[in-house]
Amino acid sequence: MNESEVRFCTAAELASALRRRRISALELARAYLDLLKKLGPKYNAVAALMPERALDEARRADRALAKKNGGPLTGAARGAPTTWGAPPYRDQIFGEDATTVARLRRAGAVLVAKLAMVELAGGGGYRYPSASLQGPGRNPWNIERWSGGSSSGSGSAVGAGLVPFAIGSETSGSIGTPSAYCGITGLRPTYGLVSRKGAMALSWTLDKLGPMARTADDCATVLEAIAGADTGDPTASGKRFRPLTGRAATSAAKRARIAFADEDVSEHASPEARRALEKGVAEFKRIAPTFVRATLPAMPFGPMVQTVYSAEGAEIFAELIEGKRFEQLVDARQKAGLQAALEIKARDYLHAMRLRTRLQDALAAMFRDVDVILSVGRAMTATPITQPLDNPAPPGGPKPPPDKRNLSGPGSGNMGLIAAGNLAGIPAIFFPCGFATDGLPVGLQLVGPAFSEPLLVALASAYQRETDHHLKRPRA
Amino acid sequence: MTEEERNIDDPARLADEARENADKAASELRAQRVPIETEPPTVFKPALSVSLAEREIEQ
Repeated sequence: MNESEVRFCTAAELASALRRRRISALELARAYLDLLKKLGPKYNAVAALMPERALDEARRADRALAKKNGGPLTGAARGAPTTWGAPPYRDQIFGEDATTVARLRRAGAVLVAKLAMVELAGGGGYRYPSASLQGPGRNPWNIERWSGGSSSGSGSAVGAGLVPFAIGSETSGSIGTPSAYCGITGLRPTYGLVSRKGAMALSWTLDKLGPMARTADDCATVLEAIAGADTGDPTASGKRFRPLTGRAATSAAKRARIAFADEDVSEHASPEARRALEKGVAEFKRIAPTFVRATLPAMPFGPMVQTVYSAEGAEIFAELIEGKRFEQLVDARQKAGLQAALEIKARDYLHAMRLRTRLQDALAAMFRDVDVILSVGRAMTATPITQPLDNPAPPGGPKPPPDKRNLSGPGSGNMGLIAAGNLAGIPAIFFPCGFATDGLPVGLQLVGPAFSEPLLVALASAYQRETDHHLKRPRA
Repeated sequence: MTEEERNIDDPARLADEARENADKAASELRAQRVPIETEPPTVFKPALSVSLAEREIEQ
């Protein structure tokens, strides 16, 4: 296999090629290092290449494969976060691996690079995609568009075929948005399924780490490797993940009751995205035909999630915010947001937390009648790289379309699903379902109750067996 | 083009907007009544350690 054959392979395809000796782990690591070196800068996707470590790990993987001890990830390259995308931490070096990285290493994966992200995972609220030490994440389908954030490098690198999978972190939308914008599959696990030890904290009660890959099956393989108990993370649930297989998966997909609100597409999708999203929903209905109209409770999801992550993030980064290095942050709006967050009142934070309890109760009631909620991944395609993300009145030009992520109340359908799902700590899978009229990918999301990842993966995997949207590649 | 539009990235304006944004979020939250018995999801957990009494029972 040469470099061009390796690019865009899934982890499952690479594992098969390694087992059949069509390529060695060392050759594979070299191919991905070359791809990341050559093309990473085009997308601002790479924070740091790790050639020495990658080649060492690849040799180890080859020895394991020679002894027939290789697992499903043996020899597969991956990216991992460290610098937090923020200039004040550009030289930060940790003495040990995060639990997720250590677990991937144990599963035989090879760490080839640390990928870019929005500074401090966007804490404080950034205005421009350029809010990153590595510059704006560029979309593999059109480099004048954003890759999405905050896991921007993971979205770009997987979407451009520079790595078969990566790890993303999500506080509220940071796996989902880059997955939707870059046309890849991303899985946000249940809060506590994956240890966060060693990962940057933005919000102790919201942060999750999860896989971003080309297929739902690859996400499952990675999740299986990284999920589980960890005494280093007091919020780790101790639960493991095992995917459904064969007949159980097929049967679960056929029997699943799918909550859906038509207005998510008919009313809220952008004109460019609407038709592809409609088609995607129709395709999904052929996989899981039992659709039920059901919508989220009317609650102020936006203010809730903003108050929680702002208050927690301000405390986490208080020393930075009040110190000299704070001015090094890139985005002026983000800096203002972080400073203002220091003043959030305890009563408002606690009120938002009590509303989370109410939301959990309401969702538990909803999940008595349905198994999963289907909605759009994002209602629009990736925005231009220079477009402000918070819709301020622009100088001269027309006001950009509103961000409908946190809508709530009558007529909102399930548009608040990203914020609501994160507030409730429940899992989601994002997967591509076609292309908008502007040539950019669009996708759907499925959200289920806590620890329903096996069902979510089974549904997305069934969809991907019947469609080929996830196999499409951006022009090299 | 107004002065307001011209300076969307002015730090003083951004600071005012950030404070207004936080206040607006707080107002929206406070407008949502929560029954007095509703507690926030538990974050605090006592550290797990074996107490003297438990050790004596084990012996």
